[in-house]
Amino acid sequence: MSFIFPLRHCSRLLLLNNQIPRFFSVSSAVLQNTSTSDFERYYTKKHEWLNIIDKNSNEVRIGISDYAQQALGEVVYCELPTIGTKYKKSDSFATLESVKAVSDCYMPIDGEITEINEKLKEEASLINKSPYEQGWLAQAKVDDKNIKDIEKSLMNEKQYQQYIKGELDNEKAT
Amino acid sequence: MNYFLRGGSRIIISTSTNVYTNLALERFLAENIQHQPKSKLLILWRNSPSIVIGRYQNPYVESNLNYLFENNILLSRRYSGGGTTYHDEGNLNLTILTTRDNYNRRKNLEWLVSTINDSYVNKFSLHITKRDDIILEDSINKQQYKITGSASRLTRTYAYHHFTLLINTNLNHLRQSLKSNDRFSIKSNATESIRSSVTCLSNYESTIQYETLIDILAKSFWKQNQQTKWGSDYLYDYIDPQLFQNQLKQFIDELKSDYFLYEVTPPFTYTILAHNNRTIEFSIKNGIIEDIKNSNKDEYEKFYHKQFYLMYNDIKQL
Repeated sequence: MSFIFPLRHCSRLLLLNNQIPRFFSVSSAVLQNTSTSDFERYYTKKHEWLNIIDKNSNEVRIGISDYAQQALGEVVYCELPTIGTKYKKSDSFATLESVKAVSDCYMPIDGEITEINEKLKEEASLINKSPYEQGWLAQAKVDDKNIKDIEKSLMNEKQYQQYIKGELDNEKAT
Repeated sequence: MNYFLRGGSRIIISTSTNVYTNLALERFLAENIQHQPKSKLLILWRNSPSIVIGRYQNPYVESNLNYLFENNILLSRRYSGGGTTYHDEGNLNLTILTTRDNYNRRKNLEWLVSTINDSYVNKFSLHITKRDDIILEDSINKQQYKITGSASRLTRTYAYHHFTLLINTNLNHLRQSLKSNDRFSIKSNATESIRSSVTCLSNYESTIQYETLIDILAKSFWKQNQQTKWGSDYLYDYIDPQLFQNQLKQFIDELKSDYFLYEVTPPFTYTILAHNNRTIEFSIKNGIIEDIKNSNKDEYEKFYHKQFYLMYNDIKQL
């Protein structure tokens, strides 16, 4: 069984775990898993992000960063992958059209697509309005080895913010 | 071909006027050139009469397909985004190919505008709008006309920005080809073109010719790019894509295929008012009619699960 909790909801459940006796039937293992660090985003140099949404099934959610959506401009069309397709890290898995430019999005990690964000079919601009929440692109199942490597192979929030700052400084210089 | 794949700034003119060949050449060069930072490849090309729709557009919304077939105008879809353009030998295509980091659409358009404005000082004045369209301002009737269309394709390793320039195009064919009878019958999330009034440069300066314009553009490109010129007299190279059929084949086949022309069209519904006042609605996904509402049994059997582009003319007769 896998549970997907939004951040606000999960903090209330943690509180519940402390107050309610052990015989409560909801799996406390699941509640233990829903700590804030599981929702921490990791980023690629090409401005894609992922976060682990389910530690039991090694499922991650993937999208593009705020920096990326700003650079693209308004997204008018979104081509998403087929569920079940397997990709390697850096493979193009989605294509976005924005203000006349068609751009590819690249997998931050090896994975098999388990879900795509159907809302984007009607409202591609969710990617601009809410790049980290409602504008996610796809979810993928990742194997154990790659999940463990996330912190080594991708940037955490702090590293990513520094990386963007570097990019912006470079842009000003040219 | 290896000579071109080495990278560095260069100008290449295609001798082909086939739209599929030229689009394939553009993609082949983009994917195979060893792109170097700060260098730019300028490709100049022209097509025989064709319609080019953007990657996520719907050909039925954007063009009058029967008019195209009757007039031997080719239908094609490009890999970049944006709206639909009409091409013929009076319409110059320019592609500027760079590394992903050096992509700068506005700079490319500014180059074109300043080059043309400087060369035809008292004839007309071009300027760039916020939407990155190039407009010609007619000082006599105070109208504004679009004279280019722009689109881009961005990947991890390369970026290209291509744009058209209406020099001396058959505007009658242009208008008829782009006037779809189905625009209001189709509902879809496909990218729609924004329609504008257009004009040709030759309407304002009758001496403008493709050959002289090429030279003007080439000289200005080198002046702006201060990069190595391959020899002091070098302006540009001609490339004959016929000599590279093998390398271009996979892209040409894809660009010509019914799959790429029709089936990759984003899902849409096509509504028709049938002869006995029934409103029949077809739902199409991946080119296949997946659902039909309000049809009778015979119609359902005839059209259900068939390829829409094959059934199109029959459907229109309902």
